[in-house]
Amino acid sequence: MSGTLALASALAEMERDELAALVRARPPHSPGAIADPIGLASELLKTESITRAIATLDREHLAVLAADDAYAPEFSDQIAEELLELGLLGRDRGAVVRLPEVTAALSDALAARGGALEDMRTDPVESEELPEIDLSVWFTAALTAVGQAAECLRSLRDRPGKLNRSGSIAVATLKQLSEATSIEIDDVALVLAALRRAELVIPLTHDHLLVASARARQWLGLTHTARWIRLARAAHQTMPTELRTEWARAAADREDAQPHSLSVLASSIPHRYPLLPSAEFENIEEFVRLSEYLGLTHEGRLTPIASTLLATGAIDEAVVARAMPDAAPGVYVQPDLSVVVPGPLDPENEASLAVLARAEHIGVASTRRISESSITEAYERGLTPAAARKAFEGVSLTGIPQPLEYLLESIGNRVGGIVVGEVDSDLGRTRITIARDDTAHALLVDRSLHHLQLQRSGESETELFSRLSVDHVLAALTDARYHASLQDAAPRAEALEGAVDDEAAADRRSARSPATRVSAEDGPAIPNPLTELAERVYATARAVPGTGDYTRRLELAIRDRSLVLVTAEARGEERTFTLLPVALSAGRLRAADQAAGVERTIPVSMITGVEPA
Amino acid sequence: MTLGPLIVQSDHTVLLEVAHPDAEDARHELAVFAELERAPEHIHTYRVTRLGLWNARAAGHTAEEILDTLNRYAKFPVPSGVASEIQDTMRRYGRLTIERAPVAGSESGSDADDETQLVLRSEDPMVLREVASAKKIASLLGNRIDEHTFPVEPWARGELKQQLVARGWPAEDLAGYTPGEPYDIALVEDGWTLRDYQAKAVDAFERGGSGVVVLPCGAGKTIVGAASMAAVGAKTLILVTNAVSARQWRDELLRRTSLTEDEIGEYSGQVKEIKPVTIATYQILTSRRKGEYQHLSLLDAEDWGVIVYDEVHLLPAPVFKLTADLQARRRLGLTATLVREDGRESDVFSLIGPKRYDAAWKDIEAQGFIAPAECFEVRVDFGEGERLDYAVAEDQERYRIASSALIKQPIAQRIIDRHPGESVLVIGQYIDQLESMAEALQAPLITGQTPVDERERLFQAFRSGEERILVVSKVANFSVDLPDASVAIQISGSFGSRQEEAQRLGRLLRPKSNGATASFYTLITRDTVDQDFAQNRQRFLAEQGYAYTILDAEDL
Repeated sequence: MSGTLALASALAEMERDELAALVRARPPHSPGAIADPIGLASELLKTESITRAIATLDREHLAVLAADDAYAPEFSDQIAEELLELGLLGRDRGAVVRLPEVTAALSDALAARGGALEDMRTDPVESEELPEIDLSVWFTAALTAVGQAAECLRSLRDRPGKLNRSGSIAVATLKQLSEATSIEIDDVALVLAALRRAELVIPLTHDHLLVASARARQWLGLTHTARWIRLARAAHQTMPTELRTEWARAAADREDAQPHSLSVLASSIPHRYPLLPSAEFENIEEFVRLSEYLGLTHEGRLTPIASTLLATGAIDEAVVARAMPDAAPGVYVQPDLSVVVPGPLDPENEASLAVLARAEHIGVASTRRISESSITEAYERGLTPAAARKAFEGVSLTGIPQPLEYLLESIGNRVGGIVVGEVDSDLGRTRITIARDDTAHALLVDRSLHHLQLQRSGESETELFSRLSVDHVLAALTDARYHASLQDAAPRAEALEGAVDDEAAADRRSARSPATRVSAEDGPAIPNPLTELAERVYATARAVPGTGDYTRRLELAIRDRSLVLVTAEARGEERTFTLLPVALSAGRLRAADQAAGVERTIPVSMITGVEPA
Repeated sequence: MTLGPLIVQSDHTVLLEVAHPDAEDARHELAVFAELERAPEHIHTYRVTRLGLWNARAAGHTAEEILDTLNRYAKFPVPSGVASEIQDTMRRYGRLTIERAPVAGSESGSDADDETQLVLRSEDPMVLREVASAKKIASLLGNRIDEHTFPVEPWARGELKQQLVARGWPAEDLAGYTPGEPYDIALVEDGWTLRDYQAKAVDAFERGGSGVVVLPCGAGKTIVGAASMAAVGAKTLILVTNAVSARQWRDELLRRTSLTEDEIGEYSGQVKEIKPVTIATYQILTSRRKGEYQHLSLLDAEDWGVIVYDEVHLLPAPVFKLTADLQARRRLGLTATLVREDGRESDVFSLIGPKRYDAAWKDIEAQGFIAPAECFEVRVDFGEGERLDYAVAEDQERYRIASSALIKQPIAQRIIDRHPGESVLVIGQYIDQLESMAEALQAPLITGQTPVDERERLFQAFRSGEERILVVSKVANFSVDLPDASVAIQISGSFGSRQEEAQRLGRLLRPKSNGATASFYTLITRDTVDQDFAQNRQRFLAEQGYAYTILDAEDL
């Protein structure tokens, strides 16, 4: 027996917003082709649609959908209501009924996973006593995450990441970020997950790029406490529903103050949600890892701040600030050109240092390394030697050691000796302007630059051209230890300003990028066809007088070309006909009475029963 | 959070803030289980490694003690991953032991060698099963005696320890040593006494039985060797890097101990004597004819009570193999650094033994036992035409061209002129470069081709001040005792070897009679591969805490 009529009845009773929510949760393939509750019910009872809908249900809900009362409990009002809202239960003469299509799809789905309907008896997950641990150390993970996120964000601002066609982040990008920031590749994936959730990086699906969003600059300007709160809130908002439900259930069950273990809750999900797709499990696992990474949990256990966040959706900034160390007063710049950052830095100092020294390890305390290439790169980006020195003076607790002083000056003296710029010429795409004749000659014969196929212009001894791109030429020259700089690197002001300006320039680059076309504030809107469908079904269910169960059964028979037994009453006399319904309009049924060989027209108001023939 | 001097990082490095009031105490405790990686001026970097933890475990320390040290001195909480790995790593040491056990059927309580056998034991059958299931280990074990014990053939003792370390289950070797043939050796403290750190090193070796003593160049490793021999009081085989070093060992033993010339033999390419104390070179031990090691019999020529490995970080691979067969004898490794360019630190740990004693360079310098040193990197530019030669050269030729820039000759002269009256070593890699440098400086040249007698004559002339400048190839890198060298000029090197840098600096570190600071110059051709390699070596110097200055040649 079909459940179409029962579901159509339930749909016909739904309010406008309930219908809208349903079609949003279970969008049909061709919403434009659906005119009425029967049509929508037919779509919703397709196996594919049911399978998708039941995949995210827990055991209690699935047990209700099982057909056999031996292992299907009585409906609880709340569960029945939720299942009705999802279009997984129907109504028959006012009573809530199961739908055979749903039961069959459930049975098949369970069988496909090696389970059965009778397994749906809900076993409560026992809460185990966990050993006490010190949760006050959560801030070490939090600060590490904030530092790593800032480092990755800066890197992505300069060089967007690549996305695969599926939208996932390309492994090459993970590797490149890992190399540039000295962060373990597994942690890079978590950093990007945190940044994506906080919409600090956004995917440009058309260009297959991952870029820093317009919010990145503002976030980088925050203190370490505020940065963490932003990441933590964003992560919390994307907590998988199943995990949140499990937490809420556990929180309601448990009266003691022992913090919940998110990892234990996550491990109960496969039992609690037996049909959940593997992608959802992966999402939950990623969230658990992300929570640990961000310091929302420690060894799986929710910290007090995270518990409050889950319970209230809020974080008390003062509590977080008290738990975290103050910003470090400065850094140790050492003669071996290593820089030790003994704690979180204020945003300005952090930005200055990021421009001049590469990260070697990022944690509560970090280590960075100044090198010829890091200084050269900073100069190429427009920082002057004076600005660089001022930046170090501002942040170093130990002054500027002589080897660094030497590097700043000697590299500064040579920047500008070789300038690389883009050009539109028959001789190539890139022009190299060299200050000295002998250097120009060395470039021409240098074996490590042969692939650039450099050639002179003929007009000037010190102007060379290459057919390769500016980036390629610049990289090759740097590898070969020539100090080359970009032609259009805008000189920027003094030290800290320089660093901050650098951030601003990066933002301008972001602004020019297609990323700005995407507004991070835009939430996912309900597509119009679905809104229209909900409105249409709602209106149809109420437009025709006498609409009700009989009408829907007749409409279904018309669609299915099936015979029905129609009982009609006139002047106190009841008669039953075996009819093949043809049309239902203007409050009248037109149907073929095949036994009598005539076509009958019966007012709907006279019909007192419609049953399958 | 505390205000301690340590920051423990998740990558297992530990940063020590030198100026912190508790820094000295923390450093002292840290040195037990962590290797000092860098010691620049303000923050020193240690690394907690598996070998370091096992070394600590071998010295009787526990994971709880180590975590207590870290927690007590750490500024921020110790990352949980680091803490759990320390516990896990230390838990592994000693779960397996190599012991002597009575042979089934022999009289219990008898400890005669022929009634005992070597066994691998564990109280945990699962661990034993895990390691015994590894193919490379299974072949070293006999048929299982019981669930706790496997027999081990004596020849397999070394290789078994190597394999167990490789699988993360280091065995504690409790099987003891053959005492060797007793031989009286006494220290003759005539106008000198064993320094405190030397005595501690000897004591640590004696207690441990086998292992490595790490002391900076110039800190008197030879004396530690001599004192260890005296402490054991048995016939001794000393393995050294080359013939010059062998003779210096001989001279030092004659000066510091009761041994006479008749009691010390040299076994090298030139001389082949076997005496109660025999000094042999690694080279002779590993020389082969028709695929066979010709001089292996030396190892069994006497019932050696101790084998001393000088410069153990240079131990050639074949000697490791031979050493694997010598596990029944006491072994003393001496070195300035455990860093091996070939990464075989774990072989030193398993075959020579755990680190028994370690003293930081700067500590010994502070005590006045080695000279303070200043390091300078002098950057020079290619001369006319050289830049083009370099540009067109193949990659493998570039370092030679860059490091042999002719401008280095007048610059070296200018440096020598800055140090009137001081003894100067000019050290390089390429013979043709050294020949022309020697000619330009009008100084004698010592290379691998220089006969030993000639070398010794020149060294003596250098010591006496008759020769103020010596130009030397890498033969002088190791074990050359030049007490009065106070300036070294490095004109080329082995492609950025940190080990070589340590050795070359070591040439200068013997205390100067006038207390002067030694000067170590490195000449680098700017914007070439020479600069890349130099960066690695010089970073090492700065990491060791030496003052380090970069200059342009014209600023000299």
